[in-house]
Amino acid sequence: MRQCPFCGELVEDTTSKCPFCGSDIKPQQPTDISGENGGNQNSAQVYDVNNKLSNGMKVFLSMIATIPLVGQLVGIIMGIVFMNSENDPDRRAFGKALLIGTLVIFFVSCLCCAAYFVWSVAFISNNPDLFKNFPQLQ
Amino acid sequence: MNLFYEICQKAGALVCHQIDSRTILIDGKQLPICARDTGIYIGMFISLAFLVFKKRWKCDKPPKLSLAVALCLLIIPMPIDGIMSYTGIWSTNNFQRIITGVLFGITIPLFLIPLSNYSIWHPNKKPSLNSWIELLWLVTIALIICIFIYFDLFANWWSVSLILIATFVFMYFRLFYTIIVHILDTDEIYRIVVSVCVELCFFAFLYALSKLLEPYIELYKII
Repeated sequence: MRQCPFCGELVEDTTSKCPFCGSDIKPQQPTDISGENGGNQNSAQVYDVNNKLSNGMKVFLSMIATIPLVGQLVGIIMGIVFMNSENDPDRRAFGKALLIGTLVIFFVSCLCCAAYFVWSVAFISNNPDLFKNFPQLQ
Repeated sequence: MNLFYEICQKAGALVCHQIDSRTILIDGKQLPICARDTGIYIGMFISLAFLVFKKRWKCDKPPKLSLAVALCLLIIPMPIDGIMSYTGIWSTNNFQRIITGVLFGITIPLFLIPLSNYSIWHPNKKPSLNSWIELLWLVTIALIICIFIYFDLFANWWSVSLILIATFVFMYFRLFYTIIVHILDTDEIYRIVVSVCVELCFFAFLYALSKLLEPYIELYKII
């Protein structure tokens, strides 16, 4: 048993979620993430310190993922790359968030395209002189 | 049957412009959504059916990187087709729209469904797509079904409409559910109820928006 760092209640060593306050807490034994090799706890810590994904990089990737089409494809691929990275819960969590965010943007942009299409027609119809500049709508 | 037709058209108006010339006719009646959206939601339905039949509904990992890149390549034709037709660089027909739409549609559930089961602290063993053969089957079946719908070989309006409406309602539900799973640490049933409520609010917003834009859509239909 150990203490939850958020609420202080006693929780099981292996649990990843505190049953009292619901916080995500790291299991005491990271063996199930880092594979079957011996001494992996040590290597996982080294990995965390040296290869930690910086906040700047996270912000940069999140911004890239909002660019229509190209950025979204980058967002999906980087999300999957991070989700597949072993040993590093920080990367896995960010990869998951990046992939969810990118998919949400995909749905929203599909709806926005339809709305933009209708608004543009409304704009043209309110400005009849502009209409002859758009022969493809006639 | 008339009432069902009206309900389908109202539901389709939430997510689609329903312009006549861009909508496929089945059995002499218009589908509730346009050709591109028909492709997208048919593709999503096929992917969801694939996950159910392969017993991968509880899959917890997106496909491996090479397959993910291939799936991303399948996404590309749809936006390019859309951009080109809206900017008038080239004009597209309904067949191109439904085919590019379906290629987009089959990829999305393969990324979305594993996300709500993915665990950060534990190893994830079950990918949503295992091999290239499965991807090839998925694409082939999707294309065949699209050709059937486009050339009106089913001739069964209500089943196609029902699939389309059910798929888009479910996909929006699943999108909200995926987000809510990470926000609420409560029982499964409570999460589902909250997701449904959020989805209903979202549809109410879309309904208000479609009412607001209705005069302009009518105007476009006249043009």
